[in-house]
Amino acid sequence: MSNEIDFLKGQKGASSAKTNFFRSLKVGSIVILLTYFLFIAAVFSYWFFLGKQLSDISQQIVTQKNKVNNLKEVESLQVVLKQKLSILNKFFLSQKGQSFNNLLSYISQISAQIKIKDLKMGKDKINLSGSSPSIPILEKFLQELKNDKSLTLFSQITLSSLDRQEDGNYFFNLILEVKK
Amino acid sequence: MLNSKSGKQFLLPIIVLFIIVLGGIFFLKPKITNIINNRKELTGDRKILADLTTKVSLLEGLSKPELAEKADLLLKVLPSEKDVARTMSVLKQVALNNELIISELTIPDVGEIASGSSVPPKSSSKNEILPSLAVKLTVLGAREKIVNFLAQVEQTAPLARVSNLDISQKNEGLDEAMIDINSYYFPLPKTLNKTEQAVVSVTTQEETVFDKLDNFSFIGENSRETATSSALPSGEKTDLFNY
Repeated sequence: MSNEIDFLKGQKGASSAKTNFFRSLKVGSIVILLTYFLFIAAVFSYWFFLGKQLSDISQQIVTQKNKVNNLKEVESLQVVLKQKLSILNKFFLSQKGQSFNNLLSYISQISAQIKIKDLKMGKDKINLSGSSPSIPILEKFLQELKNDKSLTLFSQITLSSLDRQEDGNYFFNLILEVKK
Repeated sequence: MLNSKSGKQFLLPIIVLFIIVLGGIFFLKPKITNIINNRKELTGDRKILADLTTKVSLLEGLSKPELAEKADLLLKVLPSEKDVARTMSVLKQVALNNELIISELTIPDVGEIASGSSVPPKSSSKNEILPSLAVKLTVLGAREKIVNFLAQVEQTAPLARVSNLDISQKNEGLDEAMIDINSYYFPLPKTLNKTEQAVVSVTTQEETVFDKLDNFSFIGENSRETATSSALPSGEKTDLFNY
């Protein structure tokens, strides 16, 4: 029976730890390098994929632009239509108040027995000069001007003058403010 | 010996680190920058493609003859430039239809009527939505005919509105009316939209304009052609002032 005494036991322990460390370092480096290469490959693949997508979409854009160019005439007509309709719509919406012929026909209607000598119509005001053969007819005319229909057309009615003339007729001036 | 051996052990990690750093600087960084730019460009291009596809499908859904007919109608109602001759011709015809005599017809300030006149006048009132040609007209006739005339002028193309009216009695049953009329026009857009720009559809509210135009009369088109063709002399003219 022989007993062995290992005088290098401590040293062997220290060197095996160091060996393990270097082995781990070597393996780790290789793993890191391989992972890095995989990452580069992924980046490159994604870059290539994006480039292809861009190229496809650019091609599709060119195709669509050509189609739009072929439809230029239709587009011009649509643009003209839109422009005219839009501005006409604004115009018609801005037309407030009564038209001249509506006001004129109303005045003609209620002044059947009155002689209208002069009628000046602007956007906001009507100056009316006329003569009536008698006061009751004039009174009736002025009453008509105070009816419901007149109230919807005019905001103010002013009898600015009234003269009895030599021939017995009554000459008058009226100012009618048109409602907006 | 031990030191050189352990030094060699560190060689591989150093090489790996070197490869990582160089690869990062010369390959990864530019590629990643490129990828970011490409993604932005792709997003923009996708939007452009979607807009163009919508535009194409919208334009393909429109009927060209129908559009042409509607555009033609609107151009008659609202011409793209000051059509002095047509305005005068229409007013004369409407007056004639109402048995009125035109004693005076003036267009005080026509301005340019060349191609440059498609630009709206600078002096147009801020309250007016449309630029207009001002016409001063004096007619003689029965009052009810004058009332009809005013109604018809506003319902006959081109679009017009009476702005001022002065009626005075000349004789029994005969009135003289001095009428100021604005005949409207509106220039066409100078250029079309860019190819990528979307086509704006006509709204339902705007479509109702056609209902308002249903009662419009269109006179003077054929008569103008006839008048023009009959007025033109055949052969050479020897006298500049007479046909």
